Formats: sequence, structure tokens, C-alpha cells
Amino acid sequence: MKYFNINRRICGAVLAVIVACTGCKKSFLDVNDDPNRATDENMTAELIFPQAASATGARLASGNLQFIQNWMGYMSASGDFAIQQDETSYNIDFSFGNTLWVNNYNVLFDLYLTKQKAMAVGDSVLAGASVMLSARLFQDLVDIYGNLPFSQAFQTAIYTQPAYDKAQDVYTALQANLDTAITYMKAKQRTTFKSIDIVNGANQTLWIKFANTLKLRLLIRQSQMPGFNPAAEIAKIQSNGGVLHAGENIDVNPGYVNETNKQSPFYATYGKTPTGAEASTSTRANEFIVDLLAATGDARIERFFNHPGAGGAITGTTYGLAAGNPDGAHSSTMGPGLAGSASQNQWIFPAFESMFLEAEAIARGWLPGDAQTAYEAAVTESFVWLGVPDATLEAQDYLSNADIAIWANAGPTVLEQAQFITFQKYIALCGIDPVESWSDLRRLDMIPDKGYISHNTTRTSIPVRLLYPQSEYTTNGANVRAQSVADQFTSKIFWQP
Amino acid sequence: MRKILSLLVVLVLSVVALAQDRQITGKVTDDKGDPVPFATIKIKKTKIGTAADEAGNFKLTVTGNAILEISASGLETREVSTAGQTSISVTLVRTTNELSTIVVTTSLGIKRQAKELGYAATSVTNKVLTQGKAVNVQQALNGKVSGVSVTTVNSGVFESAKINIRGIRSLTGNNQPMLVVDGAPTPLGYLSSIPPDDIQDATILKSAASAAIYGPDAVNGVIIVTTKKGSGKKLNVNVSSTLQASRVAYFPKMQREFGAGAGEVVDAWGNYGYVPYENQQFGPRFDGSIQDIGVKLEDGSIQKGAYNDGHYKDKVKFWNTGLTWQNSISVSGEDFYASIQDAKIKGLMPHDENRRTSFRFNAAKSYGRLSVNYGLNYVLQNYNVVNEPGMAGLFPAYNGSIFFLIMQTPSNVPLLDYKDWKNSKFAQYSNYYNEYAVNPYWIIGNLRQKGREDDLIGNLDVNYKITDWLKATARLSTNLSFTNSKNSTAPVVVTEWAAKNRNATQYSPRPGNVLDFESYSSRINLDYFLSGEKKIDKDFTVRYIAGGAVRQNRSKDVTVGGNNLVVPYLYNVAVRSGDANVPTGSSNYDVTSRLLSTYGNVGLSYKGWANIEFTGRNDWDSRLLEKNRSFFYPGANASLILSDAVPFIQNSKIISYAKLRGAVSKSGNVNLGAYALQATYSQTGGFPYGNIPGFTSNGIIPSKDLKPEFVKTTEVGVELGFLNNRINVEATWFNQNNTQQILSVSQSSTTGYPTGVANAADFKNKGVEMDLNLTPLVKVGKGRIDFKINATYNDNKVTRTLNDAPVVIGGNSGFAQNSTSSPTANNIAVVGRPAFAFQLSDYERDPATGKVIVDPVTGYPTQSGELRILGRSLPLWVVGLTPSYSIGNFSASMTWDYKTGHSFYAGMGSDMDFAGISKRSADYGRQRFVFPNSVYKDASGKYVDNTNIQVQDGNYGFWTGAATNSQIGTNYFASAAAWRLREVNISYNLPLKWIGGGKIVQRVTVSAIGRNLLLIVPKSNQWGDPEFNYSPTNNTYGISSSFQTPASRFFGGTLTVQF
Repeated sequence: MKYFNINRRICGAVLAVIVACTGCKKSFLDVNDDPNRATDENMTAELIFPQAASATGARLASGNLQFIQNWMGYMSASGDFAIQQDETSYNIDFSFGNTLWVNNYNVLFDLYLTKQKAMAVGDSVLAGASVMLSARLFQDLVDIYGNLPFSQAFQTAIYTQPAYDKAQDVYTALQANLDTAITYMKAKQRTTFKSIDIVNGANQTLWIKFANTLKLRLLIRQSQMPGFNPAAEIAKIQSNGGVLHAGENIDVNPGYVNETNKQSPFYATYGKTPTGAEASTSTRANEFIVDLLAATGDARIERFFNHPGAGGAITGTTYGLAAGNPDGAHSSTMGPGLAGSASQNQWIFPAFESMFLEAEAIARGWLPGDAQTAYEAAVTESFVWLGVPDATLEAQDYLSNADIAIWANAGPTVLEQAQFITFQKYIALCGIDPVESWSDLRRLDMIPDKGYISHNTTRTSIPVRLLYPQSEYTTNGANVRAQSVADQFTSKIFWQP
Repeated sequence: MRKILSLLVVLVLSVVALAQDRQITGKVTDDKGDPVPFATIKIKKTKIGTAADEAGNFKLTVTGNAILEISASGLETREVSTAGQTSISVTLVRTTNELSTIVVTTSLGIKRQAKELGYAATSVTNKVLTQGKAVNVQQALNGKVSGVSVTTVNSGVFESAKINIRGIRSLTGNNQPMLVVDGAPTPLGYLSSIPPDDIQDATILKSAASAAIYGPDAVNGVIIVTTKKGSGKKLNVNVSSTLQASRVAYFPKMQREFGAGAGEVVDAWGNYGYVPYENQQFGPRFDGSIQDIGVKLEDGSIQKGAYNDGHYKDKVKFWNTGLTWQNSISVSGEDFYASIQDAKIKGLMPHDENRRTSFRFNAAKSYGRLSVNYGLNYVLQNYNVVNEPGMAGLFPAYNGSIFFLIMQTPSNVPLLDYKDWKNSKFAQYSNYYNEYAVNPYWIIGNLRQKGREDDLIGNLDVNYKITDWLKATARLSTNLSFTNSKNSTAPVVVTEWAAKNRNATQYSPRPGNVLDFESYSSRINLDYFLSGEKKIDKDFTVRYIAGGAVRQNRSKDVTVGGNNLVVPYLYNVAVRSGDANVPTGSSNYDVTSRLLSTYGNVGLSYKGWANIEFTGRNDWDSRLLEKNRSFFYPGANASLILSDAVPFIQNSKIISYAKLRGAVSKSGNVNLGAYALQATYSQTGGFPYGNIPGFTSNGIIPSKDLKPEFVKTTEVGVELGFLNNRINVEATWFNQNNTQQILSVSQSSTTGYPTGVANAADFKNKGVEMDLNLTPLVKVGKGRIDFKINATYNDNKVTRTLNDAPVVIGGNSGFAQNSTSSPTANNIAVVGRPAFAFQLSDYERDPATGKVIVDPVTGYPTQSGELRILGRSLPLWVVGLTPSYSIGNFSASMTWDYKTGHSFYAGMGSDMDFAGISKRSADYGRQRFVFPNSVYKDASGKYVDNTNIQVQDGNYGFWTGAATNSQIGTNYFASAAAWRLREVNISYNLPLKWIGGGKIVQRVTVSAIGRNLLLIVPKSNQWGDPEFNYSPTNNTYGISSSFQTPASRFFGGTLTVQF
């Protein structure tokens, strides 16, 4: 029996060691606080907002929208690159718009976090600004995809597979959110707001006008829906000070400089690298828009595009042409009006875009005023915005000499006038907001000539939407499959006629 | 046990030994020249004999001429005549068939008799490891042990390999076994830097059950490496030199008929003309005429050459003959071992080099009850390789690999002439013939990564024998690793002429850049335990271990770069303009994690033939929340030696050994990095701008309540020896239930976090591993043929994933592909499918027949919207065959292996189709053709077989078309089945009389080695080695990329001299 006793003693010793270790265990093991990265515990709305605001602008300048720049006849590939078969034939698949979807939601999430964190500390002004920026991006997403996760989005703890809201419901919710945001924006701003508002320099009035403009944009989009009545929302827009006018551009600039990763987004995508090489060697002017501008003697052509590197007249390439396009040296890159400098502001919503919306609203009788005056002011503002020398004079010249610009040619009906205005809006938005142009095309089919259609297809119109992205099929399959999207040519967005 | 047996023999025999006429002295050594202690020496047909001493020396008095029988356990018995001799030296050959006497090193370095173990453990001797002269141990293990799968994932100078024992247990976490070197847990990567010559033996504990004692890291099995310590009083010096050459082999299949052209020049009939500066090869058929190559240069000159496939072989000749030269010297004495090894590796990639020098010193000392072992190992590695990933930053992505640049070279272009990119006119950057690709020699000369790694590994082991049946041990070990590297990219300097006249993508000036990286990591382990065994009565023995462990891992790195270097060719962060490049995420990271454990083990043995053992371990892991931090896992195993227990078998002439064993165990594993329990933020998008900071969510959300993964293992095995152990069979069935897998799961980006981390999946892993050894298979005169076969069947199946959503484990989102439209190819975990299945883009198919649907007008297929899931990434069967022949001083062996049941995706495929160099792109002579096995929808809406609708364009349009061809993953997907002649080794020990009778030089061995000599693959595999994978670290398998050097074949020779 002796060894049993000894064993007990040994067991005791072992136990003592174990107990000793467990005793010091707690502090010894508490080494899992991240010394390297910021977490929710030390992150504030003010630290996120500048990034989210800059990223909102960057979305509009992103190569993710290259397809629609190309489809809309603004841009096209130079002859020394193999053509993108899927894009130029419109035979896009589920992977086609994946990064666009993912990247937009990523920015929207940062805006959501800003809002949540700002509200948590009672900073309603910053929360309001975030909501407004997110309304800008959310509407683009709806206009591209239709139904999408909105009310259940960004609530990871509750919904790991967010359900899709009806596109029309998202529109309604965005209107309501913008109303709330306007109320938020009317509060007293914090002293820190001035230093972090890299969008409007802490100008709350401008923010509210931006929200009003976004509200009008939502309304205009639904103009062709039978029985649509914008009156109630229009009244709110008017009572809150109306939309953005000449010079009231919404853009962002945290301090872009000509350094890697720090250039102004559009310039970084389509201008020059910090060392002066072409940033996108394959992107060139589209022959369609070049011909259109040249044929109408439009002074903006020199601002939209550069002369080819090898010299000669501004030259576009034919979209979808597999062989025979001029090479990079003999075709035009994005010009100084769009990609002027590495430190330029990145637009989020240019004033002229708002003014075109207003002109159409007036033509439709939604807002009071003279449609021609509003329309001509919008076109003039486009010349100004692009930096055309003697912009006002050049604009007047254009408005009185180019057939497609003379208001007398607009036609008598509301639809004709709306088409006339949005065709000019299409020209003004070249390279700037192709999704808006695409939406107008789907709503009003306002481009008279089909020259923007790809050379590499037998189709007579461009797709009306993108297919839901691959990542949704793998991560949110049941919800995305419930959306019954047949294809990119026939499954329209709800506001399409 | 061997020693104990021998001692008994000494006792018995010395009693009966009688005084005789003549005294013989002798020495017994094994086939490596090491002394065999306590060998039995017996005069044949008598009971007279003696035993050798510890150093193998013996004295025996014989009458006249006698025949001596010399035997020792684990060695083959030999008979020696004493005729005319007074001094005999006897070499005994080691056998591996004495199953009952094999001693294996188990957990905590405790040596146990293999027969007591209830789980599978395989010992690999130094001889087996070194015979193929593989540079590293994982290569050497390939094909030799059942259940162990080693895949070589590239053929660069680091030759990374992945090791899996019995498949996988974690979907995304570590599946590689634990490495224990001289009792010290050591990062597995270190296995590639231990010189195989330094290894005494390696034991592979295959089962998770075998490793309960080692804790979480051991769930994937353990490789226990014991390095050499001196034995015997005599000083041994060993000098060895190996030279090995490698050549590119198994090149992808290429077309040899068509030259450059991509539609810039089209004749009236639509045929593509020759374009002398194109990278895509869809031009006209070679006709031998003299044609331009490239563009007219500034001075008006232009290269010309015959338009034929004369430079077809240049694409193979581009790759160097790789050279590996290993030299080692080791010295061992009674209680120490010291070695220096130097390996110089010159890669297949021109100018790639790696040099590794290591120094080891091991020693042991005893002072009465106290014994101390210690070892120190220092490894220095210096490498200088091309920095291919740097191309993506310098040029648009499709230029992104050297292999691809080579494949973009039409066969009429004299690729090798562009070697001298500094001086030769047509090779200079601005004058290179290709408008859309850069001279690969320029890349090699200008994008470099130089690095250095210093590893210091030390262990100190103190044992104190408290009583006969209790020993206390404390073991401290550390691994320190210091690494640094510098990536440098030379500026692109372009002449003004080229900048103005040539394609801006390539011919624009760019500044140089630099990225400096420096890191330190350390791991400290302290193990302390009491162990011992005690006989309770004459039948029962109890064995016990109780102890604990403390571990701390620390690492820190600093990474900083400059993207605009202003002084050309000076690579220093300080000479840049603009902000420094300071990567975040897993760079510039400081990590500490800690683990505490206690464990215990009690074993009971009855008469040595019935054994049962229970283990238990509790871990506390700092990486989990306090409430989930502690987890316990038990295990039990048992063995029964039927050949000792059952008299019928004991007396059998046929069955010489029979053992049944079984084990059940659970083990826990925290498959998680430190600081992984919280969502994090970082600054991106150029932030900060001056005073304005800007943070973004990093997009990863861990679930609140992460728990460890658990693996429940059940295994049953049988080991049999027949005909005096000439035939040995070992088989193990294992079944593993892997639950609560911690996974990064893709979430909808609409949740805000594209990635979630959760206990998100369960899967089962099961299989059978079998070994058959025939030793000898036959004796041919004095020679013998041995034959070993091992086979492993391993299947697994995913049984649960979070929300039933498939989990992408990795794939070509993880690496850049070159051509403009690359297919999707992933490894994916889907419920009901193996881990892992492939997920690939595919054509639209007729659901009834699976045939590809083509358009009735264009004849073109279309891409399906949904990705297809098919195949498996890991082999179902792995078979290894090792026949060997030995006679006297000559031996030859080869290792074949066969893997099957799995598939692979060749990333090179779509790139080659894009470039128009692939064989398949010319299968129809670049003419219109009927898409094979296709259907189309007829007027009635039914699918009918397509026999006559040809594709609209059988040239460029089809082959580079994304939806028609190059974006379809299934086009580049093939069976990964392969027969491989892994290794051939021929060695010869020079006869003693040639080297002076063994007075100074004891032994000289020369050997010839060939590795990876033959690869036999099915016809569907047009792209080369199916084992290549784009990443050596994660769990993906069978997804290669064109960023890899082609597979290679090795030849070499070794000279070993022992003093």
C-alpha cells in the first residue's frame, strides 16, 4: 500500500503546481487586446466621416462604372487593347457588377457607422450629413439593380442574410430619411464639424439644399410612372429652401495631392499617375460623343477631352470594334474639365445636374418658373463647371446656334421637353455621372441617335439593369433568388415605362 | 528494451561460457557505421557466446574455426567465419521488420515500445530520409509513409511543400502537422531548413489520439525529429557533398503553327495577318518567309527573321538548369554532435538564388540522478530572387508574370537573344519587339527581392530521477527568428522616341520603388512533468505522466516603403518623394498570444501484451474570451499483442506478430489569430491627408462567442507480421468528426461585413491507411529485393455550414491572373460535398444531357450565370511503391507514387489561350469548327445535338472570347491523377580495401540520385504538374497560377566520406 501514499503526495504536488498556474492564469492570459488596430471601443464618427465622404466621391469616379461610361457613349477602349467581349456584347453575367455592388455597400456601411456613432453621442448634424451622402449612393444602387437589401442592411447582429426591399419602398424610405436628415441638419453643429466637413465646409444650408436636390432626383426618376404625384414632397423641398443652384457644387476634398494613393479620384482613374504616365492607357473618348460635340460646335469638347498624344483633332474610338480603332497615341484621353489636376475636388453632385433636374421639374409643372430660363441656366452652368473660357458667352452661342440646344426646338409636349432637357443633361454629364444618364435613357429614351450602341452586338438597346452580383448568390442566395430577375434586357427597374 | 534483452543474454551466456583455445576480438557496427551496443555473439549450434559492450566491442574464445552468429534486435542476424582471423568487424544491416522491438519516440520525447501503443506511429530512419538527398525533409518524406501526403506546390528556390497527415481536420485553419525537434515544439516551416543529415530519426504520430499530450497543435499529427547526439567513445567525422541539377519538365502543351496577330491586319477574307509587334498569336500560319520582328527603331533599323517555329524551344531553354550544392561536415563523440551544413540553390528562374548555412551543436551530460541535454541550432538563409508580384504595381495586371511573358512570345521570335537588356540594341527596354509585353530578362534584372533569415533554436532539458519509478523533467525551448527583406524595383527609363511612339502602357517612364520588411518572432515553451512507471505485481505495470506547459508566441514586424524614389537605382525609403508607403492590416503588427496547459496520462500494461492508456488535457488559450478560454479534452487507447497473448498464434510458424489497437480521442484547437474577437478599423484611401484622418471598417466581424474547434477521432488498427516478419502488414481505419470549425465565411456585403468569423461548419474525415512491407521480397543470390507499398484512402465530407451557405476557402480571388478575362476557380466547402470541391465558371448546359448549349446562329456557347461545383481538391487514393535492391555494398531503390480521385485547375490555361500559344487553341487549325458535344435549341424549343453549326469565328473571336472560351473555368480543369517516379537512388559503398582498409577513412559512399523523374498524367491534363498550387500556406489545393515556375526534374550525385 506504500506507493499509494506516495502517489497521493505526488498528486498533491502536481495539483499545487496546477493551482499555482491557474491562480496567475487570468492576468497572464489577458493579452488579447489589439495593440495594432482601432476597434469599436475607440472609433468615433468624426474619425470615419472624412473617409466615408471621400469614398462617396470616389465611387462616382471609379473604374467600376467604366462599363456604363462606355455603354452611354462617353468612353471607349483604344485600339491597342483586346476588347472586353462580355461588356461590348452586353452579354454580361453575374460576376459583372460584383465589385460595384460590394464597393458601394462598403462605403454605405461606413456612412451608416458614422450615423450610428454620431447619433450615439447626439451629433445630429454629422448624422444628417452621413444620411444625405448615403441617399446619393443608395439611389444609384436601386437604379442599377432594383430591389435590394435596405431596411435589414448593416445589422449584422440580427440579419446575416438581409432580405431585399422592394425598389419602390427603398425610394419611399430614402425620401423619409432625407426628411429626417434635413431635420438633423438644422441642429447646432459641433465645433469639430468645421474641421471634418470636407464636403461643404460646415455650410449647413448647402447640405440641406443637397438633400432637397436628392429628393427631387428621386421624384424626377418616377416621372413616367402612371399616376405619380410628387406634390407633397415638392412642397417640402420648397419649404426647406429648394435645390442647388449655380455655383453650389457638392464635392469633396480632404486635401488631394499628386502622390500615390492621394490623388483626386477621377484624376487618379483617368488622368495621370503621380509620375505623369497615363493612369488608364485603355480608356479613350468615345467616337459617339466626340462626333456629337464636334458636329454642334460645342466648346465643351476641349474640356471633356484632350487632343491625342500624337497630335491632331480630338478623336474617339468606336465602342466594341475589335480591330481598326486608333491606338492610344492617336485617340483622346479625358480632358482638363474632368481630369484637370491631382488636387481637384471630387464631385458628388455638381450644381448643373441639380439645375437640369429643376428645369425638367419646371417643364413638368411640378415647380413654378420658366422652363427655358431654368434649362438655359443649367446648360450655362455646365460650361462654367467645366471651366470653358468665356463660359457664359460660349454657352449663349451654343444655346442659340446648336439645333439640339435651341429651346425653340424643344417641342410642345411635356415629354418632348423633358427629352430635350435630358439630352442636354446627357451631354453635360459626359464622364461625370453616367448612371444618371443611363437612368434618363431608360426613362425617356432621349438620345435621338443609336450610335452609342456597341459595334459588337446585334442588340438595338443597351441593358436596362445589371444582374445581381455573384457574391449575393453565394452569401445571400435565398433572398437574391426570390427577386426573379430574368435578364439584363427585359427586367426593368420599377420606374421604367 | 533492446538493451534490457541484451543484458539478460549477457547474464545467461556468461554463466555458461567455458574457457577455450583462441580469443577473437571484434566490433559490431550497423550499416551506417555506428556501433551496435550489446549485440549477441554466439557460436553456431552451441550455447556458447557473449555480448558486445556499449561500444560494440566483444571478445570471445573459440575452439578452432567456428561460425559466429551475430544478432541484435532491429538488425539482421549475420554469420561470420572465424577461420584465420583474430579480429573481426561485422556490419549488421538494419531491418525494419522487427515490429515487436521497434522503439518509437512519443510525446514529450518519451521512448516507448511500438507494440504498447494504441495508435499509429511510424518511425523513419535517417537512412530513409537521406537516401534521395532531398534538400529538405518534407521532400524526403514524400511517398514513404502511408497517410502522409506531401505536395510540392512550386519549384522555386524555396520549394515549399504542404504536408498533410490523414487529410484535413480544419477547413480554413492549420492542417499541417506539428513539428517537435528534440522535444521543442518548432514551427513547421523549419522542417525545410533542418539538414536531413542531422536527423537521427523521425517519428510520425499520425493520429490526433497519439498527440493528446501535445495539445492543440498536435491535432494534425506530430513529426518528432530527434537530431543526432554522439554515441560511442570514438570520434566520428562525416563529410558529405551532393550536387544536384534540375531541369524544367512537364511544360504545358503549346501550338507550333501560328505566329503573332490579333486583328490589326485583316485581309479581304477576314484572315488575320501577321503583326510583328503583337503578343497574341492569332496571326497567319508559319510559312518560313523572312518577316519583320517588332517595330522600326529610332535609328531606322528593324529585326528580321524567318517566320517559322524556329524559336519554339526558347520558351523551355529560357529556364536555367537549377543547381543545388550541399556540403556538410559532422563530428560526433561520446556525448556531443556538431555539424555544419551549407546548401546553395540556384533556381530555374535565371538569377534566383538561395543559400542556407546551418550549424548545430547537441550535447548530453549525466551527473548521477541528474541528466541534462541541450542543443543549439543556428540557421542562416540568404536569398535573392526576382520579385514577380512587383510587376502588377509597375504595369497593368495582364503583364503580371514571367512565365506569361514567355508564353506571349511568338515562336518566330528569338527570345534568348534578349538576355542582355543593358547593351543589346533589340533587348533594351525601349526597343523590345513587343508592344504589349516587357522583356522578361528586364524584369529579372530589375525587380528583385533580397532577404535574409536568421533562426536560432535552443532547447534545454533537465531530468532528475527522484526514485526508480519517478522522474521529473523540465524542458525549456525557444525559437527565435529574425527575417528581413527588401523588394526593389528599378525605374522604368524610356527613350523619348519610345515614349512618343510606342504603347503608353509599357513605354512610359516610371520611378523606382522599394519596400523594406523586418520582423522578429519568438516562441518560448516551458514543459514540466513527472513521469515514470512501476510494476504493481508480476503481471501489471502502471505508467504515468502529469505535467503542464506554458507557451508564449510573440512577433513583430515593421514594413515601410517608398513609391517614388528620386535617386535612380538607390533603394532607400529615405530618398523618396511624397508619403512613405506604410501598409496596414497584417503588416506593422505586434502580436502576443499565450497558452497554459495541464495534462495527465495513466497507462496500464498486463504482461506487456495488453495495454491501455488514458490521457487528459486542459488548455487555457489567451485568444478566446475568458468564458470560452478553458477547454478539456480526453483520450484513451489500447493495444493487444495477440502473438503474445494467444498461444495458438504464439506458436504459429506463419504468423510471427499480431497486434490489434484502437484509440478514441477528442482534441481542441483554436484556429484563430490573436486579436480576432473584435471588428477593426483602419485608414485607407490615402488617409490621413495632412491633419484629416479617415477610418474605414475592415469588413470582418467575428461572432461574439467563438469556441475552439474540436476533433473527435476514432481509429482501429492491426499490425501483422508473417513468415518471421518477412511480410509485414499494417492497416488503420480512422474516422474523424470535426465540429465547430472556426471559419471566415463570406457574408453578404449588405450586412456591412463581407467577412464573418464563426464556428461555422462541421465535417467528417475518414480513411484507411495500409502498409505492406516485403523484406526481403526475394533473395537473389547474395542480393535481396525489398518491396514496400503504402496506400491511403481518405475521404471527407462537409456536413454543416453556417446557413447552409457555401464557404469559399480560397481561389483565384487570391491571386491575380494575367489575361483580361480570367475564369473563376475556387476551393469551396459545400454541405454534402468533399472538402474541398471546386467552384468554377462553366458553360450554359442542357440540364438533361449536360451538353453545352450553343447559339443556333453563331454556334457560340454562352457562359452560365451560376458557378459549377465539381470534383475534389484532395486525392482519394495515395499509393506509394518503394522497391529496392541491395547486394553487398550496392543498393538501389526507387519510390513511385500514385495519387488519384482529385482534380486541379490550371491558371496558366486561360492565359495561354489568351496569348494564343496553347495547343488547344490550335486544335481546329484556327478555322471554324463545330463545338464538340454541343446542342442547340431547335424551332420547337427542344435541344438537339449540334453536328453542323460551326462557331462564327474559330480564331481570335472564339479563343479569346470570355464567354465562349477563356473565362470558362471548366476548360482548364482536369483530373489531377498522376503516376510519379518520385525518386531513384543508387548508392555504393566503396570496398574497404580501396580506401586503406578502414584505418583512417572508414567508409566512402557514392550515390546517384534522381527525383521527380517521370510524371504520367491523363491526356486531359495539358498543363503540367497537377500538384502545383498558387499558395504554399493556405488550405487550397490544385489551383495553380502562371506565377509559378514550371515543374522540374532533378539529377545528382553524392559523395559521403566517414572518418
